[in-house]
Amino acid sequence: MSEPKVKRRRILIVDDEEILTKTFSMLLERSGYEVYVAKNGQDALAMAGEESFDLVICDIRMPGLNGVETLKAIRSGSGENANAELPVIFITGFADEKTEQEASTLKPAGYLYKPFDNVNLLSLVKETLTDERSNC
Amino acid sequence: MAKLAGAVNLSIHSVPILIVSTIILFIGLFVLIQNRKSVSNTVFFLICLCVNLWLYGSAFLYPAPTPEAALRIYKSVTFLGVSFVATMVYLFSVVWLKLARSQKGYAALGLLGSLFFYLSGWTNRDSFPGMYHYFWGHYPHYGIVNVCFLVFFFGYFFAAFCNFAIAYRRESSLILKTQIKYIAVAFVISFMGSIDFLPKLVYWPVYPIGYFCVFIWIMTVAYAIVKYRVMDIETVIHKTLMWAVLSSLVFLPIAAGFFFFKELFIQMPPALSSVVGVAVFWGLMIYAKRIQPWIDHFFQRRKYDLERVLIKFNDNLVHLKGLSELVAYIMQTMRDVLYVDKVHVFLKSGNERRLVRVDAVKDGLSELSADETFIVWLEEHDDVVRVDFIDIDPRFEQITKQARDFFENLGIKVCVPLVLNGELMGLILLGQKLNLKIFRAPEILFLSELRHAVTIAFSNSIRLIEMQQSLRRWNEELEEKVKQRTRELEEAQKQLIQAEKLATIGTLAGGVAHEINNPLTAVLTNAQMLKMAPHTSEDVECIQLIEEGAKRCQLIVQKLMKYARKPVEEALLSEIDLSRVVESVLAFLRYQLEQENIKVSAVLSSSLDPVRGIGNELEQVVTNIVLNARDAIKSAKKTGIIAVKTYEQNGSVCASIEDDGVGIPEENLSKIFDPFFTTKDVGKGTGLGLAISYGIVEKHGGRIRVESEKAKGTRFTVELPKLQRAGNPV
Repeated sequence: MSEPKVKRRRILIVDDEEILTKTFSMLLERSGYEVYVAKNGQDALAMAGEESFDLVICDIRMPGLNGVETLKAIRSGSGENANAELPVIFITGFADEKTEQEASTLKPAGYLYKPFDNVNLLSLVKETLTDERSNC
Repeated sequence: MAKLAGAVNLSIHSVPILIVSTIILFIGLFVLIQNRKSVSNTVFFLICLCVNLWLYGSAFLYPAPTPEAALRIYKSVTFLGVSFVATMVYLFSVVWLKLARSQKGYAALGLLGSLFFYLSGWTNRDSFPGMYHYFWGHYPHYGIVNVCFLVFFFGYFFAAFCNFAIAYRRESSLILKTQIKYIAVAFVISFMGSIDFLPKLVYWPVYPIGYFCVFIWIMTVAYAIVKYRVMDIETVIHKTLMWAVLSSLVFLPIAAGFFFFKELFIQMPPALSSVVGVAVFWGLMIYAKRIQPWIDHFFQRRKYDLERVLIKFNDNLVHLKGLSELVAYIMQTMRDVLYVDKVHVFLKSGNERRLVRVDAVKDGLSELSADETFIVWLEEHDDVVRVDFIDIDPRFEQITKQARDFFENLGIKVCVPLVLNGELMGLILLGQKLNLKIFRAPEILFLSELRHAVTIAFSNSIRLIEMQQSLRRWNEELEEKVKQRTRELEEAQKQLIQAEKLATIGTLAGGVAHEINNPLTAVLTNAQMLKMAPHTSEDVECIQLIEEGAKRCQLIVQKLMKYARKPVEEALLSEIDLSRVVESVLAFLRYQLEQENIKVSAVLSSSLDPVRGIGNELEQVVTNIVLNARDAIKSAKKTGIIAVKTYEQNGSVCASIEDDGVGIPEENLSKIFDPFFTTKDVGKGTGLGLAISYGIVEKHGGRIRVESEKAKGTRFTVELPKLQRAGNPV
């Protein structure tokens, strides 16, 4: 917090859909966030090991590790960037109830059904990060 | 008379004539004493008397000592018979065939004619111009007057024959037909006797054989009387009388033979006479041993018949199963055995107190009340009743009038009750006998014995019919049940197929939704991002259109996802009053519907059992259906009614929503719950409303039924299972 410049909040977007990662990156970057993109759970896990993030926006249904598994792995990671409380916003196109229930045990900051309005996403992100900051 | 007595002389030729004419007189008398009141019997006797006079006269005429004496005998005795015989035969045909009404004039004319010719024989010289010697005696010549008499004679004979021929052709009853046939044939034979007239006209040496023809005639008539009960003669003929008549047939020739050939016998050598004596003795023995029992049997055949009929009847009953077969057989037996003019058979109808006529002939009463006094009496006494006994039997004292009325109204003579275990099953009613005689004791006994077998046969037959009926009924019920089950099965199968189809579609829809969501999210997000940056107004409009389109896609996808979702969590379920669900939907929609000139009538039960479900989902179902109803009305006309009801039925809580709109064509009924099936204009409906509703209701363990008639309207019924409470009902 000693840096002169206001530190940009770092958001990791995990989605296998490239048009979405691009779109969300654009949207969030325009809103002043620092956006990182992982195209699947594996990548996200790797990136989380190297960097620390303030928020993960994660798709649930993905090839390989799904959203819930990915987040669990990230949160339970060890190392200097590990954050067991890392906030997450799940976004989903369609999920069965079981997965949704599982997701809810991870206490996500939000759960958005695609497609959603930009406003909804941005306000949810802002809200989450504000909360998180105040928690700090 | 003294002259006549002096003229009496006999020759051997007279013997057969005397025998025959005596027999004829006997038979005539016999017929007469059977029923003196009967006109036909009397007329028959008069015929016999005429024939007898003719033959007796002839027997004395031929051997008369002088032609004058012979003519006197002919005029007084023989011609008296001859002149009346044809008229009598005609009269008999008129009386016996009951033609008196139309032919009495001719009959009277015939009698006057006969009288005229008889008297003219005495007064007119042209009747008998002279006598001549002929074979074995004197014989009169016929003059011109008697030639006219012969025309008259043949005319009336022919008329009688015509009466018989016409009656024979008209008669439908077989018995009567046979009677007429025999009588007619007999008279034709006797007509051959008129060959005796020939020598009276021209000299043609024909031996007088008239008596022989008449003998055959009388035997034929006698046979018809015995066998076919012609005229009013009871078939149980007085045995002694007939025995005497028949024995005389045998003994008279023998006696006459002895009388005339006694000289011959006396002169015979003793050995030969003893041989003749033994031969005669053996002849009599044979007669006594063989012929007499046969004759006895022949004339007692009636009694024998009744026993045989009873045995045969009992045997046959075993093989008769059908009611109509049985009735026909009973009627036939009664007719054949008792010669009654009608037989009515009444049988009790089920458990009702009435008797229904079951014989095929439909004249007279077709139904009797079992509560009639006389019928109740019959049921109690279980006895054959004949009309003649009503006045003399003390048992009828109290009900004489009712009993008489019963017999009179039905025109019957005998009533045979069929009683089984103290219960009257039916009645057999017999009319008059064709010979008008009363029923005799053996016949009543016969009926009395017959009725037990008949009663049991009817009882069996009715039971059989009842069993067949119940079997048929069971079959029908079973078939109906099978049909119903098949229908239910088909319905269940349809629902299963529908559910399966929807489940498949649900999975598919989930996949599709997911696939579409990503690009759609990209479109929407980017469109919104573009909107945030400054643009020309045209660009803004374009972007807005993209956003709008994307949002509509979003809506569709959201609905699809809702449809595809799996059963909800128990925690979300609550006790719901379906009436309140409907009420809240209507409260929300009523204003809108009324704006569109659609009236809503709601009959909502306030005491419905609760159902377990998700309130807003059920609201969605009702909303969907009501809005569909609105669309159905609006596409047909400007105004309409939506009738909403809630009620309970067969353990389910139901809500029915009925409109009077266009109705659903039958070919569409099976598709309306399919996702994306819509008949609405493009863009007006997604075709998901009913599919979602179906899914929701199914998830609640219920079902949606739809009934529709084209141009009349549609009714949707939502059925949800009642909430099963574990504890005591509140």
